[in-house]
Amino acid sequence: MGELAVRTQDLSRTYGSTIAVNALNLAVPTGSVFGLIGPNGAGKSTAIRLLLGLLKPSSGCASVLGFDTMTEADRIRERSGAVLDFCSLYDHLSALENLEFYGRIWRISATDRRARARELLGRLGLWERRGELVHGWSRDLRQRLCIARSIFHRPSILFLDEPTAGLDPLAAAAVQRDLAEAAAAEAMTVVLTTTNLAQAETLCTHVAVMNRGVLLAGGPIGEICSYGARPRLEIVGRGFTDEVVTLLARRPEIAAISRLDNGLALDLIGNVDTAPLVSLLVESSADVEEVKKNRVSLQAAFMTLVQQSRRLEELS
Amino acid sequence: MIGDAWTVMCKDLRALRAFRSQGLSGVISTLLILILFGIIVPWRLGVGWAAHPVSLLLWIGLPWLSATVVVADTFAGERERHTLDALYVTRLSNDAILLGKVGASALFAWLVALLTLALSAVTLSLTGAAAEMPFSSLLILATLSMLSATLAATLGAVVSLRASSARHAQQSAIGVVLSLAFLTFLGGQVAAQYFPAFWRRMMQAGPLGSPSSPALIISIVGLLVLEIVLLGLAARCVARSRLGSS
Repeated sequence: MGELAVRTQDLSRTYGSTIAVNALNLAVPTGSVFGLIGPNGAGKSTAIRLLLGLLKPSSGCASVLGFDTMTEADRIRERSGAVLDFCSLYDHLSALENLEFYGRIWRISATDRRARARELLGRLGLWERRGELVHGWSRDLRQRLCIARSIFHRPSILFLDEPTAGLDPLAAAAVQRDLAEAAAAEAMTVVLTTTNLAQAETLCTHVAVMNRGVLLAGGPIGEICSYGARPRLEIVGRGFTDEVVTLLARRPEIAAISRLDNGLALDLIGNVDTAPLVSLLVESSADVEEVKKNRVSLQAAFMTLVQQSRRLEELS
Repeated sequence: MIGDAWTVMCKDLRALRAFRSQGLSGVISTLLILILFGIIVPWRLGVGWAAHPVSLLLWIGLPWLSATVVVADTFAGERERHTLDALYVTRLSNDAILLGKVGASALFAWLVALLTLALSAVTLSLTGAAAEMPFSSLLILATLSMLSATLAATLGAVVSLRASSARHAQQSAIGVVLSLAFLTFLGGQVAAQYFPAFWRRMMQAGPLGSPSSPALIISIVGLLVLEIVLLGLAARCVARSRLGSS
């Protein structure tokens, strides 16, 4: 594993008798897009606030960009950008004035502020509307401006709390695309929380699954997906002899083989390239009529992890 | 930190100007203050208006009125609109945010008082009474107004920081101001009976006698001490950890 942008060790936060975050151990690689996923009340937003030094942990510790969140929160905030769960803008200021204000906060020179505002508003398709008061703007436009504001000072790490919550699917897709472009263009680490698993699957390189304050699993997205049902290749046809099955069983991509009434089912070790397997069957003179591939999904992994955790809770 | 406070103050003043120019009630209330205390009162009372003890209360009370209305929105209102969250996640220190917000409210309240004072001077000069009004009195009134505006803004910030909503903050701030005015007025009258004769004479002369009058110096020092105490209290109330905790 390379350098870490975020590291937490047994990080916990309680509110009275409620445990919002329970002994969280996270490792976010530098340059990754890291998704904290989980149902509502999982402790994702609290985790973000703890990482930004806005909340003090009840126990444990965390570091962001090498700075301790308890003692060096100012230095973390100097190097980070954040959009918390509400897209908050100054309604009586124009889009450009909103960015200008934050540019001044980050002590960016007037020339650089103008150039940066043009670059970001242009990239997000807001340049033509720069002079408008943001008061009447739709939610997705406001969210885009919030993202522009949060990366205006070129932070090393960006924290986003539910960046597409409350947006319609089209707007969410647009914001998601903007985010992906911004993350790539700015070469920064992104830590985001979301309940939208499809979004996490598209956007994130790494994810951590949380439920009721507890980390259920964390790591590269491909690895996390393997917690769910294995991807399966169903091959409909004839002529699948024992020799053919033996040949297939030697392939490293295959975890298990089972016979079906009209063909074979191959359980794969992950989302691997299946073309060589089909070629092997064809070369072995099997008659292949149809090939169906069921991909592993974050959704399946998430469901498995959350259900397992609930079962364990019930047992204990 | 001063530069950061200045940035916050400029933004707040800008937002305030935009907000008040859009709301008709804000413009009307400011105009009413200007007409009532800048034209009608000095015109009716003549030059005695400036040195009159009741007028003196006005120059101290007017900034309180303006500041408490404005400052209530600074923290509680921004918290309601979630723009405070966006400020708290930046590199700004708590002190810079506090000073910027108090500064904006105080400056606004002081400008309203100064404008009223200038309008009063014009009214007096038009009625021919200005010649009897020493410039030092205007200067003293302007200084007292400034200190009063800053004090009101800081007290308003303390109330606003602890309030759950902007409306709650505004109601609490007005309640605090009225209670303080009532207590000062009544308490002052009761306490004055027990003051030594020298103190009573000094208080009756008022702070406008000369820039070195003991009453003026006591007023300024008293306001400054109160200001520092309240700023310290407000600084303790600014806490990033008061953000939501979902």
